[in-house]
Amino acid sequence: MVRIIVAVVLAAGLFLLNVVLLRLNKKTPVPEGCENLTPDCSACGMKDCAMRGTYEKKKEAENGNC
Amino acid sequence: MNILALFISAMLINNIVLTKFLGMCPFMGVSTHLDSAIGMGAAVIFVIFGASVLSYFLYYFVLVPLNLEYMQLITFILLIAAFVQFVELFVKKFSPALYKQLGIYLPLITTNCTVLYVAQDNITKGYTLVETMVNSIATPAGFMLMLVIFATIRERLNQNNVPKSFQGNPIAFVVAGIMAIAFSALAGLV
Repeated sequence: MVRIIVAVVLAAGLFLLNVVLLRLNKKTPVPEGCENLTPDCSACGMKDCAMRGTYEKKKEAENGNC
Repeated sequence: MNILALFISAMLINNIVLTKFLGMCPFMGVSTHLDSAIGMGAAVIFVIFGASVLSYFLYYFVLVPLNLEYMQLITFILLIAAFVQFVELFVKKFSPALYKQLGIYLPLITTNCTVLYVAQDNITKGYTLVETMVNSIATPAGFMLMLVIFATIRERLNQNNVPKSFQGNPIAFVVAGIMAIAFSALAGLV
């Protein structure tokens, strides 16, 4: 029983650490000149990739400018 | 195991991209330009090294004494995600120049399966701390090498007349296959 509790506490602790770091990371302002950095990723085709949305917007903007 | 043999084996012979087919997403996505390939490669080396060493300590100093080895996978995933968040936060706050170069690739690395593979591999193979450190530098160095070679080939490919049906990812996969065959010749090196 104690082993299970320790395991749950360990997993919960790491999860909490993740959430705290994620929130701190979001709150930390991006350095000057880095506000509009976009990845130079040609989008491999994975629809769930977080970068895909940014990439598609960038492409749309480029096509709009042409 | 001889440290040099381990380094060469992890970097060239058992190259993570060409033999394990891991990290294919950034390998295909970020290999169109040499600059981005170098940036991504450097970020991967940094993150894999840090995450693997931390995972080593977590496993041998927390999980093993508590008899919680079965928690290895879940704790490593959480640890790697937390580490990447911390690195991004740290670089953002204290080194804007580095953030400009690598920051954009850090979120991509969170989901990179090579990070988890190297951390798990070090434990599975029973490496010591020194071997863990060597493997954790050599494996992503091999990844970076492939990324850079592949980016230079793709830059040349963009200037060539590739048949329409092969343009983009299809020709890139053909090139990756040929590279894998070429690198398999190094198998007898160590």
